[in-house]
Amino acid sequence: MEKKWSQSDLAERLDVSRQTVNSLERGKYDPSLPLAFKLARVFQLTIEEIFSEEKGSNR
Amino acid sequence: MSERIRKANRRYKVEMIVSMLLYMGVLVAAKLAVRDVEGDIMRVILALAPVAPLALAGIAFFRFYLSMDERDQRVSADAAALSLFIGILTALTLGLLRAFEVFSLEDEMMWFGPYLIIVWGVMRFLLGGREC
Repeated sequence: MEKKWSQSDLAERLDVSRQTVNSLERGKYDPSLPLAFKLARVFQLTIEEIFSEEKGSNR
Repeated sequence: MSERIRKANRRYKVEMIVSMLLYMGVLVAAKLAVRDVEGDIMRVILALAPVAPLALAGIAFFRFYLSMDERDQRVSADAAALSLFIGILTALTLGLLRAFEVFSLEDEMMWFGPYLIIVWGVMRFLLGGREC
């Protein structure tokens, strides 16, 4: 699902820093389960749709 | 950055500046006052007085730490673990140099705390916590 949000917009919605969003996008940081659920809620997707099963590679 | 984190950052900066100003003020006042003071108890009180504003700074930092998001907390904790390791190595190195009578920095131990804070800041920067 395409959203026209900047990293700052998403950071605001997730209540995290912009740098955390950047790290999540680049797959440099694996979020906790609560943050993963929050991400799924924000994008109206399931966790499985956001994070691939392959270890260390989320999108 | 969310509004909550922005507010926490602002509050932390204000509290740190106030604590540091208090620290400098108390330190200067204690150094001036100790010249005219006699008695061990008063000297101990004056010597330890600057610790109080530093304790305030510590409380401010811990509150700031709790307000960070999970990734920033992780970076800060990793940086603290590395700083502890570097601090132990530094203390061991200085202890050995003193034991072998190369040189002694015993009189400069009051700078060990600021040294550790700087090491922690550098580690935090290197581990990716540049924003905070």
